[in-house]
Amino acid sequence: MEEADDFGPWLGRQLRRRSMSQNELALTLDVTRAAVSAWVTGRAEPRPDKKRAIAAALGLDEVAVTVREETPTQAASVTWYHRPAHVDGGREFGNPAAFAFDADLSVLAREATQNSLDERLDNSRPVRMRYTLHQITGKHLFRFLDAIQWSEIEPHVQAAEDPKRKTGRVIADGLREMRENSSLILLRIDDFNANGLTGSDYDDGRFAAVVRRQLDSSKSSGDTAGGSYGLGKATLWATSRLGLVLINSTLSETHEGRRERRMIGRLDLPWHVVDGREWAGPGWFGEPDRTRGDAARSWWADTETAASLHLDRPEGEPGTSFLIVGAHDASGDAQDLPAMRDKLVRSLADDFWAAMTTGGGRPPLLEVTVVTRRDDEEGVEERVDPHVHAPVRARALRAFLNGETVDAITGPTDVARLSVSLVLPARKAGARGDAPTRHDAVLLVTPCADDDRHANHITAMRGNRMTVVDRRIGGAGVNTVAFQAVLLAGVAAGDASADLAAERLLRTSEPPEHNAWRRTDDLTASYVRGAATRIAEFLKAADVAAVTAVARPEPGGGDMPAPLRDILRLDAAGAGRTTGYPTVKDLDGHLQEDGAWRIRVEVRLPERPDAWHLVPKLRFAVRGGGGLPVEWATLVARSNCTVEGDGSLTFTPLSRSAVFEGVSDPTSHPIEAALSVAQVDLARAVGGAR
Amino acid sequence: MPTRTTATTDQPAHIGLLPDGVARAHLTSAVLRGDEVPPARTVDRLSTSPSDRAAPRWEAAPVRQLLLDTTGRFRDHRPTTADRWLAPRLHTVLRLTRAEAADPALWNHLALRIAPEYVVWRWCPAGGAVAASRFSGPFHVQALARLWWAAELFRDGPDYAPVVTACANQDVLNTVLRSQAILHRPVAQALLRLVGEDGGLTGREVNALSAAVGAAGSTLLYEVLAPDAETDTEAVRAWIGSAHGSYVPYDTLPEGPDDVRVPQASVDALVPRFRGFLADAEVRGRAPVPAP
Amino acid sequence: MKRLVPYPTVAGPVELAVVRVRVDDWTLPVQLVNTTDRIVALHTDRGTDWNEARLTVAVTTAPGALRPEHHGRDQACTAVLRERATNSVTAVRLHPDGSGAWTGEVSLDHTRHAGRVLLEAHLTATVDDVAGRIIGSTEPWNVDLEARTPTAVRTVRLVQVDFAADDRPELHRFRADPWHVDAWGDPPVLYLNKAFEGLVDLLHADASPTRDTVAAQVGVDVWSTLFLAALGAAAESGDDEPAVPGGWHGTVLKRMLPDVFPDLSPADALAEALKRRREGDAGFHALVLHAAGRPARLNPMLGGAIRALRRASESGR
Repeated sequence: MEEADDFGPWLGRQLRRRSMSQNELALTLDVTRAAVSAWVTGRAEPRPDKKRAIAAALGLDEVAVTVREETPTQAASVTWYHRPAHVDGGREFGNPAAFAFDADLSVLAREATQNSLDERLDNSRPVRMRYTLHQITGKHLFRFLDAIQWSEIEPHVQAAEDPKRKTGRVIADGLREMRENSSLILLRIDDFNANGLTGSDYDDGRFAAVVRRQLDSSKSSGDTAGGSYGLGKATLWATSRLGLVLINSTLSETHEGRRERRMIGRLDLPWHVVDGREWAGPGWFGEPDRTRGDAARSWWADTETAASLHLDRPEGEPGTSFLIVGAHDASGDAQDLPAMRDKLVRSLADDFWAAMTTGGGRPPLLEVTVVTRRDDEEGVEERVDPHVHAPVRARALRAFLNGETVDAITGPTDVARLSVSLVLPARKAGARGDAPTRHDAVLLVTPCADDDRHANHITAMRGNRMTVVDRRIGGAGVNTVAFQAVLLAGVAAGDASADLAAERLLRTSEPPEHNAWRRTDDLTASYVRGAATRIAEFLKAADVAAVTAVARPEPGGGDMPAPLRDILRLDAAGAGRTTGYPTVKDLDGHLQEDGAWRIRVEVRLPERPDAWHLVPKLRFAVRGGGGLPVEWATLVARSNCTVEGDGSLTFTPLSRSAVFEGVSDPTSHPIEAALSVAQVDLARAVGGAR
Repeated sequence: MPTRTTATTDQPAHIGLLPDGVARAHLTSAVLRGDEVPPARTVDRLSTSPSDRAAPRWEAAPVRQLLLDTTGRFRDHRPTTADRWLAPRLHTVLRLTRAEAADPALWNHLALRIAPEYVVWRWCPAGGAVAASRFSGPFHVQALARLWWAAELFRDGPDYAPVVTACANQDVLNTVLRSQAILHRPVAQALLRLVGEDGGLTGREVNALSAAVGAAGSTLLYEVLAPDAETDTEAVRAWIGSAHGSYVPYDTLPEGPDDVRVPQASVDALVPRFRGFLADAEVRGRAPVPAP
Repeated sequence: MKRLVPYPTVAGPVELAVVRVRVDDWTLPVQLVNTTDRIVALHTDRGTDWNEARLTVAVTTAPGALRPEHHGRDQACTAVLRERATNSVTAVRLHPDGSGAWTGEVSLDHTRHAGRVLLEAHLTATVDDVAGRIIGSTEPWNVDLEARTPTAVRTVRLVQVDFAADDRPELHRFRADPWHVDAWGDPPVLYLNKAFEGLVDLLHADASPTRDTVAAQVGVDVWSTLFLAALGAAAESGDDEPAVPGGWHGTVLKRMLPDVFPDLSPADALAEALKRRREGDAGFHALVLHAAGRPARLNPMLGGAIRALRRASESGR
């Protein structure tokens, strides 16, 4: 059950709703403006008689003031606010951040999961995430459209259709799909045991970082407030064909005295015109804020509203739910629900298998499930299991976490643990004399099947165990066992001060996509010259160490002069040469009742103007030997050949294939045919024309 | 009988290893006719020694003596008749692992340096020449290797009696010895039981049976039909390493390594089947060409 | 070669995996087990002084490939070690592990093996009341006691040595020669005479027309010698009808015979080559040199060298 609202925020909200200023209330109650301000900010609480007066001033009954009842028609007071176009005539045709990413489902999964992982609340428990792909049709669709006040935004969405622009095309497709099939895909992303969207509606904080701001990189806003929601949040909107995302967050710390069901919606459209009026594009779904020209701000929803918006959450579990309306895979790979689910699962496994791996008696950092459902079906919830989707690497990490690694790999499931050093460059600011100078990262190497999709790959990560680097090691596989390597750097390797320093360095070297460790502006700004080189050396050293761990000894003859190397190879095949002589292409046959083999032989013939003249030789195979000759009782030509009196065959000149049939002579069998393996080849007819 | 004009003097103390290439280079027509022996000092220079050359088992004298004694003992018989006598005794004198016996250089040295006289005596037709491969050749052809391997592959644990049966029949040595199927010991023993039965088998029958056993081996896994017991590698090792110079009886059969005997049940399981192969071949009334 | 078996055999591949190799009391690193080329290399830095190698193997069929109603009862799986050179065969019954695979341990005794040991497995069943019938076999593995690394690459061994050296008496008679081919060994050996002025340096130097010409000449000598040696090995097999031998002899013959007699099958080409060799005709020698030119890369090497020389002389003009 939600705790009672603090009086101050409640009062502020009531004033806002009525567009009544603190000054007006002070005049009505005959108190100083400072006193009202003290009540609203929570510095003081009015005495009971003043509360009665406040009730009268607000048109509420006394009880409502005491229990701080909300306006019962709250849902109805929620509405859409569209930002008017810039007065200077500037037009934006899409969210610039969304263009920075190839916004397909795998990028979305990566960005959203990373945010949740970084927003973990209780570090002794995993962040739990759930991706729900929900297809709604018919009455379910109409009910949902009512709840989001579709009629209010439809003109805007429709106005933003534009076949000439990328964003406009996507919107047009989304609308057509919805209208023609009366079907809409909702992708809901929940996290639990996460911070939730805390902070003010407008000022720095997680809420504003997600809802209000664009291109707000985590680094520039510091390490905590809004820290995790960087550019990647744009992928949420980019995944919606309609540019529409609704949010419900359960806060880990109170805001306006409340935690449950902080909701808001945001529509990201390009510049458009409705009824002759120009609009900038973005719109928000929320409570009108009279103090900001009726701009919509988040509201505290009741459970029915949350449910009608498909965003109900269990109480008391901090975290956020995003509902992407009209979700699609921008790459076009995944067109239907099952394909979208598969793509999500694969991406989640590739990027977060390590965060989901358990070991050493500790829970994983992250647990993810994926659900698909249609209308009011329950749906099937499937856990993304790293041991299913990334079995080799998960096995390697688990061995490390369980302390079960070995020094030398002697079996197919052994995991070798090696150490790779990263020389830590000094920071420009705040450099201390005793700062650690070397970090020892952990490199895990384990064999895998030759045809594994990730054979000879190295996967690198730091503390949050999200895959930062996943690439094939160049040159591996030539004289190595097929393997997979995992590089655990920074806090993933340990929690010593050097590990923490490495974590910070590597994080600084990650581009916004967090998919590499390399030179970044931040790195150049924060560390002394050479930092990027140290990191490059570190990655190279990891490659070398991994390959060395599985390298086969060099074959002898390292002293072989280069021009002789190929010449002295015995096993090189006579590549690409077609045989110049007739060969048996196919054999078909069975045993007859009388114990004779009946065999149909298809012959491939090199084309030549002179007839091939050959003897078909039937043999019984001998294990490890040549074979025992057997005679034919009868031979019959079937195509492109004739049987000669001496049992040889003359093949039609210029033909490329021929067929004949033969029956073996049981009296010539060295053993009863039932125990034999028959083979046929073609030999030169002795004395015959060649 | 060829005359031996050159006696080999200054005998080497130890058995050595003479690589194929240099061995072949010294197999001149004079050597193959038995008119000369390969030049001793040159051969010695070109030979190397086994890694444990000091071990008594590499002493050259006992094996040379045995081979010379063979030529004496069978002076008045056809040389082929010496094989059944020599094979078990050669095996007793030459204590080798199979890995060592697989090295042709060992057999080259024995034939070219230790006892060329024996090779010429056994293989030189009157007025003719020995085939070079009897000095230096595949295991089933080389004069000494074929006898040692016959003893190794046909003995029933320590019992050399089947070896005598085998070597009494040149077709067994020429054909059966190189069949892959007999490397499974129960197959070899079952085959030899038929060979050694009253009346024995004619050469044609031996070849027909060997061919049938080989051909059936392409569809039957004898290892499953008639399992063998695991070799007692420790006992064989001990026998190989045991003090050399032990007396080799000439008139009674020596005893081989204390190896596991071939399971009788397995041999018994194969004998009727092989008898059937043989009867089948008889019915067909023709002996197939020998199995390679 | 296509073969007909008179009863149903298992469809799809039967695969044998070497899971782990123990050599006496230590375990072979996985690097020495090549699952792609199916090779185990047993010659390690720990030397050759070991007694026993134990190979843990697992045999699998395609799921559902093995059906009792189709392939008979008493299904069993047997792993077999086989080495021709040492005439040693060891068979071990494997046991079903409950998940459709057969597993077991195959023991390789060092005294019974010397070089390349084949390891394969056979599935057997009682079919039509005949027990022990082979209904499926795996591709063989090579367990190589002499290999330091599990590679499928086989090459002529190269020895660079002074032909007059005291410890090389076998080369003394060739002491004035630039190189010598010993085609008796396994593998065959190419000796380069370090005492032949400039030869070794030339071959190790950067590409030059002279270097490539010499290399091609070496190649023709090597391959024609190997070819004749392989023919000799085939002739000595003792068969009435000589078969293409195993090992490098077979490899060389299979590679060169199609260039010697392009329109004959390998068996016919071998028979023809043996006949021509016996007759000692010079035309045959010319054919062998022609065939040796391809593996020796004679045409590209010599052609490239001549072109380079011409270019040099043109630019010098």
